Amino acid sequence: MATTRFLVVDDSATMRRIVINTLKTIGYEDVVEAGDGAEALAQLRSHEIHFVVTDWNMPNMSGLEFTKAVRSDDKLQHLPILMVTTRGVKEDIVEALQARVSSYIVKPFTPPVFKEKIDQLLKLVPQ
Amino acid sequence: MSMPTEAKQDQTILRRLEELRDVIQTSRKVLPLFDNFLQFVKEIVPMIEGLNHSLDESASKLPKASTELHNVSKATETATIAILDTLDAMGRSLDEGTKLAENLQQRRTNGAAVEEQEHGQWSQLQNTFHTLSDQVGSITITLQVQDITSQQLAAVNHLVKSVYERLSWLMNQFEVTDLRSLHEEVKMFELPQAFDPNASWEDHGTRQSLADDLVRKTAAVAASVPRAS
Repeated sequence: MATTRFLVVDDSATMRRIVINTLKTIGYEDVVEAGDGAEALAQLRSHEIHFVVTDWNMPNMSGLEFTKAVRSDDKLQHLPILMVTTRGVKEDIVEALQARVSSYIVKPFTPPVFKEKIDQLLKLVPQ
Repeated sequence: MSMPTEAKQDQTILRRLEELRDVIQTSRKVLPLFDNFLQFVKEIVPMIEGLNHSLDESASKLPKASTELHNVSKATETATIAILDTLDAMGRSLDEGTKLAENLQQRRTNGAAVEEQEHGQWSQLQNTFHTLSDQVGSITITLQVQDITSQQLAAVNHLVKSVYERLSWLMNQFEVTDLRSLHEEVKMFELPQAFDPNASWEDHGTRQSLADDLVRKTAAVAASVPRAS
């Protein structure tokens, strides 16, 4: 693929901005935004997305519900989904992994951790 | 043989008198209790009225507390966005400065002999720009605190709402009629916010290590399951 297009999903405008800035810093300029899971599903339908970074706690449709909706679509089984959330207890992480998020970051994140997870997941994407 | 009528009447009168005596004796015992009960009621009524007043006063303050929390959260978000705007502008200026310094250094290096000291100063200037750029990045990352604080405020707001609803229920039980625009006040709490009640600022990586460990284990399990051909 020529460029990797990211979809950043977070109800906090501040967090979307921080995630997008961090993506730009590590070389990813092509970014689409959404304020909740429902909006993110609409973005997935209208854009070719290669990587999703999503929050968990959002109104209308949470990141967990969004992940389940994505995974229920056969065409999106391998879409990397990186969950970035404040929820850091074991039960939450297990629940997210059962919903088949690809990786998990607990806020506040650092750019090296963020880059490491993205690099790891992009290596696993079938070409 | 039947009793004479007069004797029967005497016995009835005696029985009535005994009953009256019993009633008087019982009343003597009950009266102090009744006095105590009256005294208790006299004391408790002002207390209940006071409690009503306190409930009403406390409940009326809670919507304001909730609104204040909402305002603080919004103000912090606005300020954070303004800081991010400034940081973005600083970042762009620093990038321009770095490129300019690199170009100048290149031009000088390509040109006539450049004194070693001057060359060193250009490198130093570039390093300074890079350091400043990294620092701008660090400030940006630290601003995640706004999202975490906003979730903490939402959690407190949720508690305030629960207390308010409980107080409203109590006020209804006491039949407080002064439920001024109760429903309007409750509406102020209906802020569409999803939040994590346990959100916290933890930067020593313990929770991230736990997440990494669980992700690794899940990946290992997935890899060990044979794929359907």
